[in-house]
Amino acid sequence: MASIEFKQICKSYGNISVIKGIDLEIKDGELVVFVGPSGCGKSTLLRLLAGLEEEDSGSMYIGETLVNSIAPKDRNIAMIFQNYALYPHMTVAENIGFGLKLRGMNKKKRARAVDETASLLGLKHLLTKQPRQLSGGQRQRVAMGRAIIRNPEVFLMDEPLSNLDAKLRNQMRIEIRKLQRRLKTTTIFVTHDQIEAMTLADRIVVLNDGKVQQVGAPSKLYSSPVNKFVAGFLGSPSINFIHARRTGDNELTLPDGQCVLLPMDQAQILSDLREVEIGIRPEQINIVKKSDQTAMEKNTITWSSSVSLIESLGSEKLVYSFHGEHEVAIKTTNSNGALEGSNIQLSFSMNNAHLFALNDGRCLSPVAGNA
Amino acid sequence: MMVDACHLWLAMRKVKYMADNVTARGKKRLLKPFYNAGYIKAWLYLAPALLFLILFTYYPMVQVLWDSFFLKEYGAEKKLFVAFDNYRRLFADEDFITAVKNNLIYAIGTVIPSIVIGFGFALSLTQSSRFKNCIRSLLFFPTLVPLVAAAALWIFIYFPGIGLLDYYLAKLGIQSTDWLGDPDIALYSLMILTIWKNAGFYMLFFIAGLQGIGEEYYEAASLEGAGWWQKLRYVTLPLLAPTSAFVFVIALIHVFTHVDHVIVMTLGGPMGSTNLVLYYIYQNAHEFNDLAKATTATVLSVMVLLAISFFSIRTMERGIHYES
Repeated sequence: MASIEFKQICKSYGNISVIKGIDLEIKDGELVVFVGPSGCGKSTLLRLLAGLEEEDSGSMYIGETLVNSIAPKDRNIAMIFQNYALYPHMTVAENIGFGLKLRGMNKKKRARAVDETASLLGLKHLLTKQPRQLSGGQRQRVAMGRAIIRNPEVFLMDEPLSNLDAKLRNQMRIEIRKLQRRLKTTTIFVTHDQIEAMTLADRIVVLNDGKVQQVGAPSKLYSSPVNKFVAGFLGSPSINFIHARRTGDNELTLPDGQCVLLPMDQAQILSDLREVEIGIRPEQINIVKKSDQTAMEKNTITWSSSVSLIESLGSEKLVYSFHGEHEVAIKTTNSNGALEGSNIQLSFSMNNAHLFALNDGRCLSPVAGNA
Repeated sequence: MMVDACHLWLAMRKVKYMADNVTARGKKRLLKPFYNAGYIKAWLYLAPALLFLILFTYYPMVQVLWDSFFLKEYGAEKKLFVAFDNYRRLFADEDFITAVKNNLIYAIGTVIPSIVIGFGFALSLTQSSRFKNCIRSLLFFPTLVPLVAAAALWIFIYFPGIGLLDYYLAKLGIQSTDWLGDPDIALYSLMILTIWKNAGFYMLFFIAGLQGIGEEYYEAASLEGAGWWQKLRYVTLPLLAPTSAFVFVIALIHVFTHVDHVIVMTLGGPMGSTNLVLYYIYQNAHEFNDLAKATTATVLSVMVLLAISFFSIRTMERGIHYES
């Protein structure tokens, strides 16, 4: 077990810069998820740590050791690949014990270790089978077995669940979480799936365009994103953005002409910005009864629009409507009788909204900035 | 011909798989295979190729087998049934025994080195770069040269005293050797030509095979602690087994079916030292007019080849369906 540290890591392929100076510290025993869209550099960063790619500059530490020039096999890490990379010509037992064999452990000891690992993962009855005889979930477990048997200091997982169907993915996600809690091995998990990131991570590292956007606990990133990208990337359906012009010290005007007063603390941070975007989570928008005008307050935005689509998730409903030209998603348990095509009244309070600068996307609202 | 037979055999296995897949589970499919639409369709696809193979391959094979039990004196009207007499005559023929022995030495001495060398080339030339592509083409070049032309070329290389080989060996102080005229050396000289000619061809198969092995297998291995040799031993070689089996069969078939260089360079001599089974058959059929003996030797060599091919493809199929 060990901590990990990236210092000013850069990597480019030819003229294309993939990792642009990343600084990151990961604590001993932590499960950190790298999340971001395709091409954001998350896998590259993982492969750099594994030693499968060579960095252009910067340094990486595992524990106290500078690992830049250490061969992959001597970094004491184990990696789980997206397609598992199980050897088709070896049995499950041989696959799991491969690393020990290469490191010269004798047959008896190896068999015992394989046995222990297999029973930990519920693979004991499959030890003599070959990978092609296994289901996706079983292969996934064998790959995990191969990783944990050597008791490495770090686990690296490169989108290990993306080849599984949805139900199995949830199940394996929970298993990985439990296993990690039990083994307390520092783990980096790469995914592009924000739900996986939210549910698995001790801390999430949101990457975009080769840079770290924000690091923090899932709930913190969700409630206090530092910029528009993080706000938009986490959450499903994703956050709604509404453009607004500043028409007074603490007054914003929306495209439909409606004015709203900002709470004082929000207004202060705006300083001299003229244009902003209001970000509001789907679950923070309410569908209100037309007659119910009493709840209106000065910092509440209310408008009416038609419903374009309703998706039912069982206990909750996703209602898609519009604010001006922008499509707006609403997540609610109480749709107040909204039907597709019908007109509804929507409202949200500015107290729940995030403000983003239109020019650079940074978050302005105090809920985010300093929390 | 042998290759065609292998292909057909594989195709027929496919027909069986197709039919099996179409047949409803639990039905007794062996009892009425022809009621099955999938089965008939599969056979129809196969029919054109099968027709020509029967006409030009299987019918002649059966005919040859049949003929090997008869003796027809030159100029005689009627074939005479002699049962296994031709086989007895064949095995009593010292020239035949020599040819078989030569062929075995030739097989072992060319198949293994050319496969190993081809594999070595492939290993070092798998990654594409302009330089490597160039080298690949150079190494593949001997395959493109017809064996007859290659043999003619090598006559000049082997020419005693003034040939390319002796010329440069002389500079090193090694005296002239009669590469093709010395009965102790001639066969080995032919073997070197064969290795030169085939290694590049096998390299091509190995390169294709190597490129089919996913990079992640090597990455996983390096993280698990494998060095260069261990990656070769535990990843490359086992994953390349289907390719190797295939190349092995092709190489063996080459050994028994190519004699152009014998005809061009040595005519089986000196003193039968380079006589191979196919050349022996050719001699008996066309020079000694002992058609019965040639026929019989043909039957035997085809049987050996069939056995080798079936055995190899069997092992190849059993071990290894690697697509997951």
